[in-house]
Amino acid sequence: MFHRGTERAGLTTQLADAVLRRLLETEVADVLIDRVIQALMRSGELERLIAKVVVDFEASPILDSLVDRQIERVLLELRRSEALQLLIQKQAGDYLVHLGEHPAPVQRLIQEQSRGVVEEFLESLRARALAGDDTVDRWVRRATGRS
Amino acid sequence: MTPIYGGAVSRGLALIADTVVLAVVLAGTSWVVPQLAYFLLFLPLDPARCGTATDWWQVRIHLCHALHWVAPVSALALPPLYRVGFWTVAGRTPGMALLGLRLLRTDLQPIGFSTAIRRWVLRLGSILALGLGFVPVLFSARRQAFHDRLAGTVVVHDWATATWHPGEDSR
Repeated sequence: MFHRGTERAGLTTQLADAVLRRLLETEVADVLIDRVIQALMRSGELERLIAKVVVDFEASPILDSLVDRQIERVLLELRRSEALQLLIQKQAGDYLVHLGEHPAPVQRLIQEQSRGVVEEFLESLRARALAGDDTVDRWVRRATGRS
Repeated sequence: MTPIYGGAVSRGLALIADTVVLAVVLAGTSWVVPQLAYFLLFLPLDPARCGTATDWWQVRIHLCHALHWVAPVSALALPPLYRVGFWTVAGRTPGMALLGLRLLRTDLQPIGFSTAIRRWVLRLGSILALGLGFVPVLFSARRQAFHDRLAGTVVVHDWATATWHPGEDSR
């Protein structure tokens, strides 16, 4: 009795799997899945679900530690990577060669910086001197009793 | 717009800067000229070794003796040349330029050579009067010194963020 019931249940499952497989192969299944997805998107439930998952992930310390571990691992590998060091050396070399061949922009930049510093100093000196003039005037006015 | 006149602090700082520049130029001239004469004309640096010239064509000996006079002549000639020259050509000495000051006539027009000469002579008077000629800067509405009043000049602030530039007003 028990064996016969189990066999029937197994047969039913196999039959259901076969029917489902066959159904998924038809265009009807595609249309059905499309409609379900569109209905979900229209309802806003999908959006809420995704937002919740993202928020949960953001607040998750497990996820944080996972990301940290991955970053550390990648950085360690990059630090050990000879290919990367070669790449950096090559890029730095190329950059220095480029600067050697085209020094004008760098020179202009340095000149502008220097000029800026000098102008700033002069502006400050002149402003202080002007303030000093006014202060002396106030003292003299107070001392002589003039308004 | 009303110009901002240069007061005691600005003018004092400009005076100090000009004095430093003049001192450097004077020291340089007094040292460089004898050195050039020594290296280019082989004239001795010690005047006792110049020798005695009995005839006018002994130019080298006369030149050697003249080197003594480089320092005192420079000390007398350079200050007026420096000030009058810069006032006339640029309207300001390097010290005044550092402080953003400019020397103008009272009608706010650039000064000429004659005004520059007159101001320099009057300024010498202010200095010889124990500096008393500069005292009116503290009391005058236009912050004019004694020599400024007599020469008809004013010193104004003329720099980027000062609120006035020459030519905007000809009061």
